Amino acid sequence: MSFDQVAKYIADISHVPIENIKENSRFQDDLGIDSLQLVNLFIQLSEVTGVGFNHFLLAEDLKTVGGIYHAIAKGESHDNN
Amino acid sequence: MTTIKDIFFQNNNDGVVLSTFSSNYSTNDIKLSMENYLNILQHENLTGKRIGLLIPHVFSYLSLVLAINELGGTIVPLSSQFRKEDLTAVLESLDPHYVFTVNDVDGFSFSEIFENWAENSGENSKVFSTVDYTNWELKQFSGSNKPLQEEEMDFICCSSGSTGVPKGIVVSAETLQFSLEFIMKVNNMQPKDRVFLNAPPNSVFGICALLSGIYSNAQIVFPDRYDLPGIVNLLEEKNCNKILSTPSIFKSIYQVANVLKPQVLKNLEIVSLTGEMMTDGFVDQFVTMDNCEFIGMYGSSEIGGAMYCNLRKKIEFTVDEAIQFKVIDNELLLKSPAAFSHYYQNSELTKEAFDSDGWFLTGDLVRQTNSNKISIIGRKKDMIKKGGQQVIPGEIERVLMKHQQVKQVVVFGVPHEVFGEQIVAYVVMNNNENHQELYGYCQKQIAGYKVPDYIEEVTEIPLVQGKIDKLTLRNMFIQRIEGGKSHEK
Repeated sequence: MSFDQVAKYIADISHVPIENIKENSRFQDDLGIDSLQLVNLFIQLSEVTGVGFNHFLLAEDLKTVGGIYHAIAKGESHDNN
Repeated sequence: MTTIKDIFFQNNNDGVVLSTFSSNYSTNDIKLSMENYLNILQHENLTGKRIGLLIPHVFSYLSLVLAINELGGTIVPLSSQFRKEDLTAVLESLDPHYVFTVNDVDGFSFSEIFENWAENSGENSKVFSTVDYTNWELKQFSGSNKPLQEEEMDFICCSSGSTGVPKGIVVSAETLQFSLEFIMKVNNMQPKDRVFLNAPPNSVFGICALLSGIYSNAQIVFPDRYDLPGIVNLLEEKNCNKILSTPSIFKSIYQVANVLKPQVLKNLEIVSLTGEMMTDGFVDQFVTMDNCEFIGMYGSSEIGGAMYCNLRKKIEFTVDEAIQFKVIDNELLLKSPAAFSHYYQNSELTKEAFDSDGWFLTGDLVRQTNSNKISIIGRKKDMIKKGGQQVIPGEIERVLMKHQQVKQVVVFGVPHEVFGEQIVAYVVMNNNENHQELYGYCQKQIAGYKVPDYIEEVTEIPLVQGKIDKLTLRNMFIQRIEGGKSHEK
């Protein structure tokens, strides 16, 4: 899944304008997504991407969009093997 | 006058009674900090004056609460989740003489809002602002004198009102003590407990729970930012054995902890949940916590802590022995020593809150069991409970109606897996304008938890038998979601 697709999902789920979603955007500080909303976001991203919820929580960087994008990529690779 | 310090400082324990992400504090630390604020305020006469506090740093907040109460001022706790519209509504309604505020939170300038309000009010007021909670900058605004309160009031806590005017719930230190003792009793709080607390510190429940550490010598562990992986680390670091939280937030903590650090869940002896409706079998999802006791607590800012139940059994609440109850037309009515005295400057609303015999009308629809227990079956009042926070649809409707492109709006709540309930707004726009910008508009005007999760554009608000029937709209929306016809947030 490309970064643009992940950004589109995040924009759809959280209603943040897609042009604001960059790889280094921080969920809380830059996008205004709090922790409870983040859990909701991970659950929904898990549903739409098919990547297990655990992969999101075990991401090396939970705080940025890029961190979650890499977690999805890693999860896809893990789940395909 | 009995002060909070007189009631709650029962000992000179040097153990930790409050922990946050960054620090641990003893009762003596809190006393010293309180004395520092007494020094700052030594030339101020606070008697009969309202003092707004917007202080996310919980140690400074607690110290200021104690200092202001010592000096006879009335504390008006304010939420750092407020934004321009809801904060301004509170300021206009409760009209504080003084404000203590942090400069900004997440880039939102609170000091600017307060200073503009004070400047425009044309009245004498003082705004103390800080960046680091050590150095405070005072700005004074001149004008006419605000009237002083003749009646003693310890706290005026804010709650959203259905008419758009916030409700100021007036409570005394003595009533807080009753609720605090209820929390301690129900959760069997002991001096060596490490109690994780997740509650807004500006709410009556939050204030009581924070003070319970000082009162009981338990260690209250309070996360001063909402960061779930950080919270899980904090639970481990402080070896927490009890949790006071809301169902939705605990569910999220469980999901995260179960992946990152399952042991923190096994350390828990009691998890006590309040603020949202739960159904039988709610705790079955916490499959790794067989040995933990789950308690449901029922209460409100107006009536204090009132009932409790064992969430592992059928959810039937036991009414506390100090509280009287009766059920009239399925509505629960209570009389409690922890009840608030009145709504600030709103005698009409106060009158509506009680029946002619002084029973508080909870607005909760219940069934009384044969064994005198209470099952909650629904709500009479139009209220959404999202993530443990109360949201009044009328407030959101009014904010949306202020947008120049919104012609008509209706707001209601629907169940949600993570939030408990989520907020849905149906809007009719003028001139086919794009409704997507309403999300950003709401985020600037009101607290984040009040921003609708769905804003659906419709050509007209559907009427049922000539009027807006939210129950039917709610069911229609749920059916559409389940049918996958709506755009998921």
